[in-house]
Amino acid sequence: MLLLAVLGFLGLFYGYPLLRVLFYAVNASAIQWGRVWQVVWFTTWQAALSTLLTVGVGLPAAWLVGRFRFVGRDLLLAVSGIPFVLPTVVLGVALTALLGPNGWLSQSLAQLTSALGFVFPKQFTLMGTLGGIVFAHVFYNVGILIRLVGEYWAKLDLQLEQAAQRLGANRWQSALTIGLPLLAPSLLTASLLIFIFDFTSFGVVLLIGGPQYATLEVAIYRQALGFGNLPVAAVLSLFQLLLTGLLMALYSHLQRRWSYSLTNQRPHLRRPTNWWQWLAIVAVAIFTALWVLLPLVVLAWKALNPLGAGISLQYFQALFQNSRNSLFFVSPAQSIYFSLRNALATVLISLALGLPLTWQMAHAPRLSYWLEPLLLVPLGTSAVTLGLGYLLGFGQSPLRWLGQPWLLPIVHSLVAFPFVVRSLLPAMRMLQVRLIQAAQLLGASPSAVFLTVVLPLVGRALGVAASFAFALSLGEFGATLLITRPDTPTLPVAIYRLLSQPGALNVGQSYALSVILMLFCMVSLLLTQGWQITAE
Amino acid sequence: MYSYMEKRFVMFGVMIALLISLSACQTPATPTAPIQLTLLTHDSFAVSEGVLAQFEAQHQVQIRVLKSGDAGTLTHQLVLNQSAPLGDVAFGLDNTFISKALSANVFAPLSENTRQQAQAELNLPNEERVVAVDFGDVCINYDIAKLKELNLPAPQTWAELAQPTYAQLLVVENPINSSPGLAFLLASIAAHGEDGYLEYWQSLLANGAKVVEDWNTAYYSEFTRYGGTRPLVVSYASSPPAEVIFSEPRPNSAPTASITAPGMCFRQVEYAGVLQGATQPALAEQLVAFLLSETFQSDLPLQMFVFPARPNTLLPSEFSAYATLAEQPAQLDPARIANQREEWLNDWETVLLSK
Repeated sequence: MLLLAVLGFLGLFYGYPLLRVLFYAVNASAIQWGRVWQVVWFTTWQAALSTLLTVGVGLPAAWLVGRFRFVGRDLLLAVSGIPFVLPTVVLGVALTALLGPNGWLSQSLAQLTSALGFVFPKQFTLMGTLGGIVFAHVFYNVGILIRLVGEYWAKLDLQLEQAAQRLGANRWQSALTIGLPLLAPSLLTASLLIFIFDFTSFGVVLLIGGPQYATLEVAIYRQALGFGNLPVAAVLSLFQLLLTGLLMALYSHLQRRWSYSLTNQRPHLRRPTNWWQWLAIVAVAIFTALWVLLPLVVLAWKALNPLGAGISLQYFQALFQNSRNSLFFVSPAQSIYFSLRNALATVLISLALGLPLTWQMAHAPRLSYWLEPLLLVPLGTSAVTLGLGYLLGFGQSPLRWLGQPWLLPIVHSLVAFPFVVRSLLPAMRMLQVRLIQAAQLLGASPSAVFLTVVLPLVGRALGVAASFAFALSLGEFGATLLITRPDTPTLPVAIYRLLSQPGALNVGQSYALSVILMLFCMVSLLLTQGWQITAE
Repeated sequence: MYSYMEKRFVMFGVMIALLISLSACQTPATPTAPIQLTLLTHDSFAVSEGVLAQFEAQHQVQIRVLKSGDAGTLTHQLVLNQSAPLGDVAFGLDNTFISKALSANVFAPLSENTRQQAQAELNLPNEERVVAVDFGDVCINYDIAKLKELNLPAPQTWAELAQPTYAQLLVVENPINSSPGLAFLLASIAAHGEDGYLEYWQSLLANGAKVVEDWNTAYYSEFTRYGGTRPLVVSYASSPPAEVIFSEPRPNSAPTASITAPGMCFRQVEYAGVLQGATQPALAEQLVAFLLSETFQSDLPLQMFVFPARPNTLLPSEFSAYATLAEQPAQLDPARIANQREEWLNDWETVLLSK
């Protein structure tokens, strides 16, 4: 019954609009298959390269988070989550300021090289290159790796490695033969997730890569909206759906095969004890900050000084004035409110759907076997296709829902749903019926059972699921831009609007608003982390 | 067996659902305005407070503004939903997209009186279904200070632009998804003909012109005024006044200017019309007429940075001071654009990718 309701919901808000678009594939004719293969091949190998580099950059920080308790650990986790909500339009500007021809990097390299007596190429830039795409992918996804692998690492049983060492293995041997195999499941599944993100990458490839590059998702966008060739776009969407569907099936297969019950263990974190550990912590923190923090710092700097003509707070102040007396003027306080309202509604909707569904799945393995990959598929769906589907499917009289305020949190819930299911399912599997029965037999009241048995066991997963849904909703841009109402823009939409008109005040305000979005995201991540710790 | 827990979760779900519906109820329903008119438009639509309210009060209606994407997305949406329109009036389709909507029979005829409100030369010849509301020129803009520093005059012809003097100085937008990018490509086609434009683009790209995806990237990442390395950028004739208006404190002169030499700019005209199958066709036509009224037209420049289509509308001082319109913009027949757009874009992309 419950299951039917949830599936009906997904069918209505995901399946139906998608089918409306995919239907056009029937009319496809004269597709240049050579070009399609080219795109598929580029999509695949850039994703593989980006994933590899993300693992390389994130692993040291994951080790740090997984092994040590130190001042700033929570901050490191929260900061590495900020990129998740940063719109690509803004990242493009930050990357140019950092890595563009007149950027910080090329200027300091030029100074350095001229001091050494040779000339550094002045036109050096990462914008419009594969390097830029890969850098941006690392920037966006390294937080996921740190979080997923780091938290798993924290729960690995240290005793196994210590036993190996007592039996005569040195530190490296025990790490290679015991530590790595234990870590492999989380490393592989996290990599696969990141690969899927890079595979379906849109904004980064479009804006930072530029016209020379196209992933499947970008090709769908260009065909559908640029060339106006919906049939070809529909065929490409089918392709992407198929390929990501396969990846999802692989992902949930690996997850099931390798996950073993670690989640009930308390994290084994220790304080750094000697000087080399402190040194390693500082080195890793600086290394990670170079990838994650630097673009954010540059952005904050640009918000204070967009023209390079001197520092001022005027762009923050200007955010609060409706100088043009526009009907659609929305103050940042209001768009923070709209973003917050949306994000909270998204959390509530996705948990309301996710809790009963994962509870049923946890106790019906066969159902779960089929449902799990299916529920992940929305992750691989082209946002452009889904957005078009909404425009087609929900504009007409029986389902005339475009412009309804509740439509946006529903779309965001769909985007967040795969994450919510993924976070809740393992915890639900641990929630053994016997434990509850035992508590009841011992005379616990229903509310006491819920508070003392259920909540501690799923509370942490609930926190993770909620913070995923919250952050995704806060940063979601593609679908939001298509279906949001003009009078209720979320923060990313407000930033984009400011960036689409010329003038220092506009660009300065859009950076200032990005800084507000970043701070907002960091605070909410810190809060949910705090909540997770108290829930433990 | 575990029915107890299941109930618990159902309760939880119900509670959450209740919370959501409660918070949805908080937004008060407006009791007045029984009739609703829906205006479909693009993202850039903006208007001063109180302007639409005048119309609403006069006709006892409520206007619902539904924005969806850019002019291209709006066109697709109209064409795909032709049989069951999403609203009553559409505004914002420009001369690169309008023919697509017209041949899909999206619009109903307008009265001669409404169409006469706009300058005759902006309206489509022999076309009674849509009326011009505003226009703007897409031209190359330049950073005045930077060109002075380089001791270069602004290029005045297409040929000059492709000369080594201006190597690595120009940034343009991808015409496939960017509307100024498309306008610039169309201007080059008008200037060099269908047989010559690809060759011209080869020389332009060989001269180091950079193509980026959209206007934001071109203007705020590559243009010298905002920290980039290229002092020439494809933008609008209304960008220089915007530079003045959006600066604090206001400068004495505009920091940028547009190149409006003959054939170097493309004129984008935006149209409005009543949709076929509108629920309130008579009121919808009144709304189109209102878009051409003095009230709305004089509000246009500072809200959407375009020029009013109604003759003799007073321009704001920043516009008359810093915006130059092209005297001879490039000309291309909208029907031809609609028919050949896809082919031109495909050929252009081939040239870009083989660079």
